[in-house]
Amino acid sequence: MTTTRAYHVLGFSFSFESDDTALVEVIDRCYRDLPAADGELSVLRAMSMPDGSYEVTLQHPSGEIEMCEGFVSRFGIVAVIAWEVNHRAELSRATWPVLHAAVTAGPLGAVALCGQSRSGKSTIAAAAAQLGWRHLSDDLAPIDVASLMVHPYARPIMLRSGGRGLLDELPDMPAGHGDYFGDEWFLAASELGAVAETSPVPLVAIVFLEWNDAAELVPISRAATLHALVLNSTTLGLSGEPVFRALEQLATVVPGYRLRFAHVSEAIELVRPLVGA
Amino acid sequence: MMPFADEVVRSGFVPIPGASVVAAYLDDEAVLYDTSSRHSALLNRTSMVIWSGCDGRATVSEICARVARLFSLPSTAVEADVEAAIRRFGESGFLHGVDPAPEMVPPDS
Repeated sequence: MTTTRAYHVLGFSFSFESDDTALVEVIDRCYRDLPAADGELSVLRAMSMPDGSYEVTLQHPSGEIEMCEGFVSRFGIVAVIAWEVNHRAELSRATWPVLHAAVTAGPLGAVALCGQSRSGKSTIAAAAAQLGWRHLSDDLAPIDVASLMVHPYARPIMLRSGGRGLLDELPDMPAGHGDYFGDEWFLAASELGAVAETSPVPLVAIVFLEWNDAAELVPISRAATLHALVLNSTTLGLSGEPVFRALEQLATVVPGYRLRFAHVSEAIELVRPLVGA
Repeated sequence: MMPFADEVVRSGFVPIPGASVVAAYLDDEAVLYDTSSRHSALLNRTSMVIWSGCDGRATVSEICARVARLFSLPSTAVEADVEAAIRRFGESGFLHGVDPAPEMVPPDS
């Protein structure tokens, strides 16, 4: 059995272990931007089954073992682990407003780029990483409303083939690592050239992504910002009114924009002045 | 079985906000969110004024009168729009005692 180092992500600390040494190396590379954890750890474990699939479990600090998923193929195993880490990280901040957003930052602060799956979040985060911008997340943005700071969640950036085709050349994967990815590839932002943030960054704008033929960045009203935040919050359904009020506070003080774009380079140029990059 | 909005929203009906509905008023607009169904709505100024009139005491015709006064219009000029807006609140599940339209009910409920 091989084990990774201990990672800390929001309120969740974990290490990963498996009887598949190459898989442990893949996970260690993908999660290399996360800070080290100390204290009590959960252990995410992927064990090889005789049929070539994996069984994924989570051992809580108490020792209790929770079954996460069985019969996971080699092509799907990193995606399942990434989902589990996301889920636990999100639950650890259930009382915070957590946005479904990529977050990139420059000298002026951080911008949350909100959108559902396939809205271009990760692709823009990867393009920003390739430009050397500061990276906080490609998927979840936990926000401390009292300080208006967005906390980093530098999980690996998830890129599908469509998104990969829109980016500059990607770094080569170490030999054998490609065997563990299907259409979804996971790359640490630092592999792409970003500085992965480990401390909170002031939130200066909230942007809602929309694919469109004509590129534009349009300010939206505070109520439209709140409504879009409601649609892009991952913790509102868990925590209800307290998170709604936190989102209201956020919409009141942080400007909201609708970003329409057809090409990632257009999105980057429109976001650039917001972060001062 | 509760009635549907188009069956009850008439001039004498008293719309009551659902217990799980929270509202935020920002500038000339508002956002409604139902913490049970997780439905939300962005209201423009007119809809916001109508929603804020749904205080659990006023009838539809009293809300019409308030809206008409606010916009300096005769009550008859706003009746249809006010009733339609209140019906939409009901169809969206935001009113107590009114069944949401079938497409607003989550499949697992």
